[in-house]
Parts: sequence; structure tokens; C-alpha cells
Amino acid sequence: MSRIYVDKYLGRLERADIYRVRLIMRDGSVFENLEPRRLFPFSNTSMYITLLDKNEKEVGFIRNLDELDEQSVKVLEECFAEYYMIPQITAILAISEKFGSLKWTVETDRGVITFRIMNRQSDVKRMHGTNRILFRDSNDNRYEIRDYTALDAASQRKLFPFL
Amino acid sequence: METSFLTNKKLDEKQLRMILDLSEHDDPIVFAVVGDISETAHYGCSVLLVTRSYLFRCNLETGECSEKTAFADVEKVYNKRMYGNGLMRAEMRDGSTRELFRFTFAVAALCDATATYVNDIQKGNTSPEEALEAVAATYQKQLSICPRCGRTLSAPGVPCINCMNKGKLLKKLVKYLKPQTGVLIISVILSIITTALALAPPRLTQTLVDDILPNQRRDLLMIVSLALVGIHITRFALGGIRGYMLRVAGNKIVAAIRCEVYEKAQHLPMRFYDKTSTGAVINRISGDTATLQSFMLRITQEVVVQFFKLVGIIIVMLSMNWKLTLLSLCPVPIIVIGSRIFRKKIAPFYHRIWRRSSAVTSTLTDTIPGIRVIKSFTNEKNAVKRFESCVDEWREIDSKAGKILNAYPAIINALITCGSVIIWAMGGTLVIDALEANTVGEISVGLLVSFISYASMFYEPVNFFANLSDSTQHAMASTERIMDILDVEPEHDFGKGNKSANIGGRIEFKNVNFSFDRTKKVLKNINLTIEPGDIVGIVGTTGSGKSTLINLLLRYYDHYDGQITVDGVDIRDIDMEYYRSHIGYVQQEPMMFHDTIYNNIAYGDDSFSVDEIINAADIANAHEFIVRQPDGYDSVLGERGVGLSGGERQRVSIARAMLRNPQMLVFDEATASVDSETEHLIQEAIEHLISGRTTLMIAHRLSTLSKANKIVVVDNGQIIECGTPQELMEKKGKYYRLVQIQSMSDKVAESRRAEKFD
Repeated sequence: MSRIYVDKYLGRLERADIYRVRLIMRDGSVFENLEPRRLFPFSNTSMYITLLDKNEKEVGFIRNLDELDEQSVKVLEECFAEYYMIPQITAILAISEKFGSLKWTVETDRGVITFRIMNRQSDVKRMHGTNRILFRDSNDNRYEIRDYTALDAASQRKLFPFL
Repeated sequence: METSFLTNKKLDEKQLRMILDLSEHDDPIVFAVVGDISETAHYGCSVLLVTRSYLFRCNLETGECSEKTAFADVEKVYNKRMYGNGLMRAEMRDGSTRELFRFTFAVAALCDATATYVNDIQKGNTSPEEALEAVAATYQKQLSICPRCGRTLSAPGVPCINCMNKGKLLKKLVKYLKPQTGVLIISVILSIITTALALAPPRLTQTLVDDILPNQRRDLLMIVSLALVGIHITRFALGGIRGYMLRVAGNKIVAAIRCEVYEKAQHLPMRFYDKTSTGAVINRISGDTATLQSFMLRITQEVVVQFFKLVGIIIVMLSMNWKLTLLSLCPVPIIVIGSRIFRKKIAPFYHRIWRRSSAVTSTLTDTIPGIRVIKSFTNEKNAVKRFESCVDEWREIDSKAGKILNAYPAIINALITCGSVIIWAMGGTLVIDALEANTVGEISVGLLVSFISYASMFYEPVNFFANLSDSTQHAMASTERIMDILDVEPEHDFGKGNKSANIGGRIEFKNVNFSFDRTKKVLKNINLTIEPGDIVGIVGTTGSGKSTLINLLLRYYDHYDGQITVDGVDIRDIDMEYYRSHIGYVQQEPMMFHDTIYNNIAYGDDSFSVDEIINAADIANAHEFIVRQPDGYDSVLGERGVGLSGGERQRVSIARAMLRNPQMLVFDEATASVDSETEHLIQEAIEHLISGRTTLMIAHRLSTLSKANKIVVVDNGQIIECGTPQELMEKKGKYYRLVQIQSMSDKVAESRRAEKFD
């Protein structure tokens, strides 16, 4: 089965609803309600995007956002903003430990939130060789710090044991 | 104010009033899902309010409400799980889609229940009351999860062990100390005596210097020397006895905890092992229990002893000279404060060092067992580079910590030594003053000498208490890890004692839904009936949920929705031991224990006769290869030379299942990893075994299922086809396609083989 690599010469995207798009091909064929997903949601957010249909079968494939027209890129980014909720932690307000689990209160780009980390080892992960830290809380929600060195000094101090 | 509706979070007075104001008298709000994000996915308090005929969303901070969505206008409500958040959406009758609610995974289960509630009412499947009951059950389940840490509780409403305070934790430890109370008291008394004895020698030194030596009293010198020898011998003898008693008591404690943890580990639900690696559990049983033992002895013994020492020395010193005593106490606050600062500084380093060194270990455990892969892909250089960078990171942080670790004792020791020099200087001046004046001053030479010995003894208990909380924390971490096991609720055995069900009876899956965590449903709406004596083949691609289906039937997981019944009884209401002992389970890669073949087949049950075991081995086609072993049934598996091949192990495990004469049989890809000839032998063994028994077989190779009278095709967590092989072949669906593909590849393989042998 050959993969359809979508680029601006082949087709364009329109917003279908909150997280789905419509793929309109140059030849006039239209694919409704495709769900765009990042194949590298952590390591590369602007490349390798797949378009899935209702049964999660791949319909189209975008190698690089650069290869799309401006409008389609905007559509995708809007969809992703809704689909991927990985709050970016901008400051660490408090970390307290009680009986093995950690209670974090942090400021994110989506507001202040308190969450619990069950396992300090496996649920707070620094990506090897980078300044990026990924969190997974007790409810399986995700959080992220892109670059911990960019945080204020107090937050960095609180983060020290987790690096 | 009384809450008249179900809610998953405690609401304050204002929020409660706000919701009650929105509630209509003739169609009141029956439940509320309190979420934590707004419709724009920002954090905030948003709540989904549901009545018997409509639902709407309300922002509890602004009071804004969405329009009401009547169930009558809805075609279907469903939840779309996105990444880190989910959407509840409604397909409306007029073809449009409406966003109902946005949520994080914290309330995903409630949102799923809401969707089912709405759909059931709308379709008229159930009455609103019945549907509400189902929702209430989900709320109950939420409550049985600690709202603060998300941990499952043993029963709804009990305090969460995870959020419990440490005082209670200590109380739990006391339980292990209690049987040793007698020994501990004797040992404390002994140690008080030795402490008192230890305080005597400096006092005698004073007499020696001031009285005996200047006055040349040989008789007294003899007596004092003998007294000193006696004191020292008694002191060390008592110390030895005490040490031995403590060791014995300590061993009893550690043995008790170890056995209890091990016993508990046997009864932990599979869910626990999914989350915690077996290595971690092993560590807790062996390592953490030892830490705990030494800590408990330390707390009960050393604290008392050191306290007496501290008080004793201060009293003795004060009685000798209060001025010098105060002088020698000067460095104490500095030491106490210093050690506090030190601990605060070093703690983050410890955590970090621990992280880094465990990264090193995990690189090791990842790569060394996989050495074949590394070699075959010539990836040695990369592996080394990766390991080096891990080691480097560890070295860097450990070296940094080394600075603090070594600076602290250096500073403290310097202070203490300087302190004693000050006493020499000050006390010495007083002594010289008195000698010059030729009077008997308040301080004599002997007193100064013995005082200095006391002062140096004094810092031992000070240091001990300054570092006490450090070792306490260390032990607390161990305790936590152990209690983590001890307090996990074991596999529920609600039906203990209920041994009446016929396990060979009809098996029914009724609306079974299951997910390991809360993010993805692994099984969706499974409905399946298996008649007694049926041979059921379960086919499907890897990851489709076949094994999970079996896991539920074996009761490895109990937290599914819906019901599985055997002979009309919910399997969760049957005595666990009774239930499992009537099921024969043959795994894909059977586990063999380091023991004789005979014991591996009997596996812990002495009630079988040798004849029975040989018979079972014979039926399982295992006897023939066992007789070829030089040591026969006595061959110890895993020892030099005696490694069984995959197919042989499989046949031993079939013999194991065979022996117990189970009423239900479960094969999880029993022939997946063996060659066709061995497969034939195993197949034959299986056929001996299944006669007349209800059998479930997971199989990749459809040839294994030749005897099956019923085929279940699982795909993506759902049963997509179910029927006799003939029916499914006629249907030309998924099963038909699978058969086509396999027979084609079989033909290819056969023709290749034919070519080779030509």
C-alpha cells in the first residue's frame, strides 16, 4: 500500500471540527473527518504528522509542515492546540512529599494546578542529554518543562533532586 | 447544606448553592462531574450537571452555563480521548455535533459513565433509575480511589495508606517490636549499666593523678588498677552479651517482616506487578527489611543509651566544675545547627546521586542481557558511549556532593578539637594560678585531665542526636516501600468459602469492559457464552486483547465492568483458591523452577502418587524425553546440562496442568514458539488433555485449532466474529481471510521444503 504524502501541490486542509480536519485533494477528492496526530509528540512536533480516519487507519501523511500551504499549517496547529494538552510548567510553586508520593503545585501556561506524582523515579523524566523534563501524574495526565534552565532560581532549586 | 446529587469532589458552600439554584424542582440535578479544565483547556473549576432528561456545563468560577442539551435531541453521546484531555461530544438528531464537556483523565471514568447513562436513557434501554444506579456505582468506585493520590483503596471510604501520616507508620512498626519487648528491656538495662561503667574510669584517673601518684601510694595504685581492669572487663562483657541479644532479637524482627512481605507478595493482584517491577519487589523483601531492622534497634536502643550518656556526662562535668562545663558546651549549638544545614544541603544531592546511579544500573541491566543484539548489530561503540555518559553524569554529581560530604566532618572535628584546646588553656591557667599561689585551687591537675576525657566522650551522643533524623528519614523511605506492599489490598476474595460452583459449567461474559489504566480501553463490550465441553479458539492479531480476555477469566484482574459468570455464578464470588485450582493454565513460555522434573510436575502438591505423575507426563508426551535424561525424573532443571528445550518445557507444563485434572483448560499460545514436529507432539498432548473439558485456546497458528468447535475473533478489544469454524468460513469475514493467508503461507513453506529435499 502506498502512502499518500500530502503537500501543498497535492492538497490542502480545512478545519472540520475541534480536532479534525478535511483533506481536499487537488484532483477534487475529499476526505472528511481526519484526525491529525503527531508521530513524534515529544521529539519533533512539526514533522511527521499522520492523518487518521474514523477507524484509525492512515489516510494521509505529512512529512514536514513546511511542505504545506500557510492556511493548512494554521489549521493543523489549531487542531493540535486542542488535541495535545501538555501544559508547560513555567514555575514550580511547591513540592511536598508525603508517604512516598509527591504533591506538586505548579504554574503552567494553562493556569495553576496541583497534581500528584506516584513514583519520583519513573514519572519525572529528564530526556537524556537535554534540558527537557517530562512529567506524568497519578491520573496519567502529562506536563512538560521545555528547558529547566529557563525557570526562575527558586523553581530550579526545587527541581534539583529530580535531575 | 445537604447535597442532593452525586458529586466526585467536595464543593464549598457557594458552589453548592450555585448548583442547587440551577436545579429545577421537577427535574433536579442528579449528579455532577466536577472537572478541572474549562472548555478552552485552561485550569479552572468546570462542572457537568446532569438531570434525568438533560445535561449542561457550568463554570463554577464565572457562573456561566452552556445551553441545555436534552437527551431527546441526542443521537449518541461519546467521549473522545485526546492527549492529556478528553471531550464529551454529542451527535445530535439533526446531524450536528455538540461539545458537551472537556475533561482531564482525572474524571474520565465518570465521563464514560455519563455517556452510557445518556445513551441508555435516550435509547430506552433502561429506566433512568437503573441507569442512575450504574452511575452511582462509578461514583462509588471513584471514592474507592483516594481523591488525593489516585491510589485504589481496599474499601470505599477507608483512609488512604498513601496519604497517612508517619506517626501511624511508626505505630505499625511497633507491632514487630512487641514480641521482643523482654529482650529489648534487658538490653536497655544492660546498656545503662555499661554507660555508667564507662563514666567511672576518668574519675579514677583524677584520683590517680591528684592523690596516688604524688603521694607514692603503691597499695592504692594496685587497687585502682585492679578496679579499672574489673570495670573494663565487665563493661565489654556486658556489651558483648547485649550485642548478641540484640542480634538475635533483630533477626527475629527481620525474619518476621521478610516472611510477611513475601507472603503478601504472593497475594498481590497482578495490577500491582504491572506497575512495580519484580526486581523492585525483590529489593524490598531483601534490602529494605534489613534497613528497617537496624533502624528499629537503633531507635529503641541507641536513643535510650545515648540519652543516658549525654545526661550522665553533663551531670558529672557539672559536679566537677561548672565554669569549664559551660565552656565545653559552647560548640554544641554550632554542631547541631551545622548538621541541620548540612543535611538540608546534602539531601537533594542524595536524591540526584540515586537517580544517576540507578540510570547506570538500568543501562547495565538493559544492555548486558541483550549482548547478542548489540553484537549482531555491531552497536558496541554506541552502547559504550551511552554507558560512559551515564557514568559521567553520576561521577560529576557525586564529586560535587563529595565536597559537602567531606567539608562537614572536617569543620566539625576541627571545632571539637579546638574546643578541647580551649579547655586545656583555660583549665591550665586555673591550675597554674593555684600552683603559683601554692593553695588548693578549684581545679587540680587530675581534675583537668579527667574533665578533658569527659568532654571528648560528650560529643558522641551530641553527634548521634544531630544525625538521628537523617537515619530516620532513610528508614522511613524503606518503611514506606515495605508498607507499600504490606498495605496494598490483596486480590479480592469476596467469595471465600464459596466452593459450590461447577467450574466446568457454562461460562458467560456479560458486557465486559476493561482498561489497565484510565487512558485506553483494552476490552470493549465483550459478550460471549461458552457451553460446557466447548473447545473455543480465540484468534486475533497481537495486542487485540486475547490474552487480556483470558487474564480476566483467570481472575488476574478484578476491576472490570460487567460480569463474568461460570455456571451462573459471578467468578468474583467464588473462592479464589477453589476457582483457580480447577483451571489448568498453560502459558506460552512456561516457567520452570529450579528443582527436579518430578517436583516441577507435582509442583508443591504431595498428594499425588508417583504413578499419577508418570502417567500425567506420559499423556503430555513428556515421559519419552524424561526417560532419556540420565537422572530421569530426578534431573534438576537449570543445572549443568539439564536445560529443556521450549517444546519440552511446554510438555512438562501440560503434564503439570494434566495432573490436577482441571475442569476448565486455558492455553495461551502453547505452540507458538516450537517447530512443527514438536507442535504435533504438543498438539497430541493437548488433545489427550481436553477430552470433555471446557477449553479455551489462544492461537496464532490456526492449525492448532483444528479441534475447536467455536471460534472467537477478537480485534481491537472487541469480538468481531463468533461461531463455528464452518459458519465463519461461510461468512467470509476476518477469520476466513486469516485462514486464507495462513494456508497460503503454509503452502509456500511446504513447497520450499519440498524443493530443499528434492
